[in-house]
Amino acid sequence: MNRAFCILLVLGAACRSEDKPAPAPTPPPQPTPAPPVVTIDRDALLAGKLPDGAPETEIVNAQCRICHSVEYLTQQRLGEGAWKKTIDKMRKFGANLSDEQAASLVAFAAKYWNADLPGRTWSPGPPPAGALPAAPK
Amino acid sequence: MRVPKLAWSDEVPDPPDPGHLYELTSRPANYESTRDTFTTRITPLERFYIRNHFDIPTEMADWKLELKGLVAKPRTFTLAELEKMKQYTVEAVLQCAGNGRGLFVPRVAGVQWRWGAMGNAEWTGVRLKDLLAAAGVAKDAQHVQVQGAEKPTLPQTPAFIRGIPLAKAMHPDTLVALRMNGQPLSPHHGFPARLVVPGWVGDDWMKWLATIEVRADEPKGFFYETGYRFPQTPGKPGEAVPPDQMKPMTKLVVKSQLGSISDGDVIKAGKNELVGVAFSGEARIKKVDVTVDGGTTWQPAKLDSHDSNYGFRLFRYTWDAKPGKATVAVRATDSAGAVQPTTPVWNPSGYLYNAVEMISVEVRS
Repeated sequence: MNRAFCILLVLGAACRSEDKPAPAPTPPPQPTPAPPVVTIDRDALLAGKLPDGAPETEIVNAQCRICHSVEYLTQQRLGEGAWKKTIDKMRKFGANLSDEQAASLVAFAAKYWNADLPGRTWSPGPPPAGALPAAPK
Repeated sequence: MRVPKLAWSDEVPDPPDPGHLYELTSRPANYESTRDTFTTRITPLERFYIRNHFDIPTEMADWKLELKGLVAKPRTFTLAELEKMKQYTVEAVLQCAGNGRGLFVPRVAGVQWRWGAMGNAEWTGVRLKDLLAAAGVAKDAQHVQVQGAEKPTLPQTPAFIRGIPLAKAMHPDTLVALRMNGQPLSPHHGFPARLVVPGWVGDDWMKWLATIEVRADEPKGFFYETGYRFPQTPGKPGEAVPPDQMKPMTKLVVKSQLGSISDGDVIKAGKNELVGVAFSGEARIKKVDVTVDGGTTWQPAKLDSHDSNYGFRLFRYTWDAKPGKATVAVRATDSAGAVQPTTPVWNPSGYLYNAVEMISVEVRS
């Protein structure tokens, strides 16, 4: 059975109509830009990967990965409140995020890595370099 | 033993088998042991879990241990000086505070350890009390603060600083260990020296131990004042706990775990030997009970003859398994009368998980 599925994230969908300025009397016709399409299949999500194409993935790569690998994020299964607390803590610890970036990161994390997603899949492997005593010299 | 330069950049040779550690995070390195690790009393080094807050320190050629604060003679010790002192060996379980965090409901943030962030080793080194005696502890001293050579990546991130009360520091079993299972400590386990605080949670077992500071007041810093704290009165699952209700963790709690079977296993009908480990903080294991019918009836497991103050107690139980589905569990009781609970004690950081674990298996003829 193919367990893969696709998640589409349409950015800007949350923009409320009352926030928009009054339209100009004669708006020139313009082509609608295609919204960014973010894709990830379920197996990749369960294996701890980040979605491709999301602006938040770029933030994770630029900020979170200064100190730690992405699995630190992708193995969590948290609600929005707990994600906000975690990202606030990371900002105190030096993550250089604007308020807007932090808010969008909280929504992004809570969307993918919440309690509805099953636990991560793991495979055993060898110890990392430095886990065993050095050979006598 | 001497301090090799950047010993931990050496490549690990190909292991003879696929390995027995799950990589929970590659950086910093956090690895937990596979379940079948818990079928021996002493945990082999190649299977021993690894827990790091930050990248492991690499500039260790000039390593010295500094002892300062409320002492008559502040001083430093080189590795050669520590090796010349009288060495002691203590068998003790090292367990990460967050072992089992990934099993809490609701889920909590942090490395999602399940059952493998624990191990039992023979630790060899000098007594911390002998080092303190060499420096002369002042009368008003109450606490010993410790810090390792590791550094956070960013300057805003708090350093990992911990501490223990002077009474625990002066206990004859509290060591500055240089060896683990007879081998020099590996880089990931704190080479060249780490604190060993038998019976206490792993957050106090400072690796790459660089500074010992004797103080009158409690240690300072995020990881002591905020992190690694446990509620004095546990609340409802998911609820926050006010900071003034949190206190530093000390002792480990009673726990047992099967190593020979895992949830979802298919086993053969007939005689199966169930094997696992049990331990407690500052008490010994008195008994381990086994159920093969989901908790309706319990039978005592046979405890291994090797008993120690702080180590794993191996246990075995021969189960004559009949075909069908079965729910198996083990439950330890320690010499202080503490019994593993049915549900874990809720705390916001997911520490000290020790609930009885129900393992479902299918028995086939």
